[in-house]
Amino acid sequence: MLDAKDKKSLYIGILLAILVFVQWSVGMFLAPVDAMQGQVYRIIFLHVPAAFTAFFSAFMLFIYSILALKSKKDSYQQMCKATAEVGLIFTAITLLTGSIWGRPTWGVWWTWDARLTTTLLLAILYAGYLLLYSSLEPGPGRTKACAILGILISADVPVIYQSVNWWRTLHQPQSMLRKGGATMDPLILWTVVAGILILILFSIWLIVQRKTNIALQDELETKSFQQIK
Amino acid sequence: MESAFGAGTDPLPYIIAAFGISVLLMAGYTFAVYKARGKIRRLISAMSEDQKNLNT
Repeated sequence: MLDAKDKKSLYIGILLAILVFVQWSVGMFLAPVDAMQGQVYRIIFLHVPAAFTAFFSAFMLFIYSILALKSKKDSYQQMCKATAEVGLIFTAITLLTGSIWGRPTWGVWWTWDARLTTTLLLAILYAGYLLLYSSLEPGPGRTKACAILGILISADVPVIYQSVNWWRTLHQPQSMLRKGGATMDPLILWTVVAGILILILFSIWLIVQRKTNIALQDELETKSFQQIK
Repeated sequence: MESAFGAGTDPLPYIIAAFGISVLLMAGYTFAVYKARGKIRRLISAMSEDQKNLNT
């Protein structure tokens, strides 16, 4: 039973999903073949936007955790929980597509490489945040504990990003944001950049949808308590 | 020229697997969110209805 507002936001979501598919299709069918990796490099059009979206979620979690600490408004905490869930989904996509890409190029599904390990840590931290949120009673204690963890999670993002520079890794170094400019073909580069922007927009939409659900669930709980009284 | 990395491997299964997992996770999560939304809204309206009946 969706109301008019739900249906309107669902149409926005469908439009964003179509944009995601268009970007993927451009990457899959129009972008040139990579000279070194051949066709399998096309996983980049899924993997890199998902990774940047996972980082963006951590940034959002950081902002909303600070807001939750400052104002104690319920909506900020609801936003934090929604952001952690969406962040976990995109980190999982990053790890899984990366693993699938690693098998034909590196010969392994997984290796304890610095980039991979710090990204896995991000997924564990997101999952930890959700466990902490659901295991504590609603109130100032939960707000404070979750906000501190939310801020700590965001500290992992610069470590992930710099891991290929700080340690000797199997993962390739940065090929987009690097000194001397990107090393990719312009069509590949701009398809990846468009993918990052579209997927970030999609994730914002998803976070807002999930936050609406959490707010409605809280409203439902309040109403049922009132009825019992 | 397709050499060094991934030489001799068919890339299609890997691309399909990566694409499939991404779609499954994103679409599955979105579907779950919207299914839950419908359920919550139904419960809220049923509760409001109950409250009205109790009051009258």
